[in-house]
Amino acid sequence: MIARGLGELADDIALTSGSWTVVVSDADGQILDALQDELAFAIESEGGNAMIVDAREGIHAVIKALSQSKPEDVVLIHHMEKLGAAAHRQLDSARTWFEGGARVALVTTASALAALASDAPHLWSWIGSRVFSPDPSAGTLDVEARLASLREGTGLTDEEVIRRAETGELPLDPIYAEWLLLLNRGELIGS
Amino acid sequence: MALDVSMHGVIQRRNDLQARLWGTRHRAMSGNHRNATAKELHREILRYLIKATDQRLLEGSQTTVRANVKFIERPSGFEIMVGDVRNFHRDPALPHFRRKRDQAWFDFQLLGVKKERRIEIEAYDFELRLAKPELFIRFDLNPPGHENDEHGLRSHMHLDSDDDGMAVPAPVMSPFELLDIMVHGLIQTGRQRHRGALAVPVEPP
Repeated sequence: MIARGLGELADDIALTSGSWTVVVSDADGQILDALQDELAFAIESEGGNAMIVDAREGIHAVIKALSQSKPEDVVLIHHMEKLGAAAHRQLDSARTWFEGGARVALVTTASALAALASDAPHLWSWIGSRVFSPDPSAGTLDVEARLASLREGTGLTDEEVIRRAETGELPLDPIYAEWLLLLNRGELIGS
Repeated sequence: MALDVSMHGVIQRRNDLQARLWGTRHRAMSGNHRNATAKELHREILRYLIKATDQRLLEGSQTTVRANVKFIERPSGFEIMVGDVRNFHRDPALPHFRRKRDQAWFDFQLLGVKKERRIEIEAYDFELRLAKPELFIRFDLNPPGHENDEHGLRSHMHLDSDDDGMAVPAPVMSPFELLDIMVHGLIQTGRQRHRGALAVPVEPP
């Protein structure tokens, strides 16, 4: 299982046409919403939709949603861990109907992963290594690295920059405005 | 009309110019409907760069654009930048965007504040480094503050020199107008006006 930032994960799902992917997440609604948002952005030039389907509505609802989707869509099916072995086997049997169709992401919990693999072996081999866990912090700005580059580039310390800002001695330069923002002292910009 | 040709007069006229430049800024600087939030502005910049890679104007792909353009939001404001570190030394090993046609490369950072139901861009620097001739051009917008009145160069341009004395006033531009320069600007054509109508065109690199 590979950890991916949400933007990178969305690209991974979106840029492989017809792919099926497993996303391991403990049903965190916020992450799901953020992933849907990133997917919608990733596919917007195709005119497709990034839709969320709740597996708690049953396997028939899941299959119906997949049947109604288009190749340019992405279907996020969450709460897969709520489906039992019989439902997994139905999905396993039906998988070929959806070959070349929408990109699909099955969202399940870590504890339910083994059951899915066991109950749906053909689907599982189709998925292959496309098993990811979303890491919302991955791919985001490394603030400390950025601050370190500002210190190295100017020879100043965070404390010196704040002191100069407070006394009105800090030059009006985008570099220092950025520095203050990163230190959460944006109120000192332009002071 | 008696003109004051001392630095006092120059600074006064520069400040008048800066006021006109600020007054004509594109509405994208102040957040229109589409770019009303920092996140939407970030997405719009990503779209521009992704399309530029799709159209083979820039090297890279959707994936590299997403990886290279960073975004951070704080209660007071936000910043959109290329890479995790600021490239003080113009190191091509650090994240940047590179033009396919002539290998010129660039990076940028822009900073803004969050206002009620919109954002406002308050500072930026966009720098393009040409391969041939080897020089850089950078468009800077300093953050607001009274010190800008002392030199009248809040929005300015550096042509191949970081020396503050070598800066000249520049238009206040939206991120997309600046990206247009980064992607499509400063491309040698081989035509040199001063050589006259009968002059043989110089081959562009």
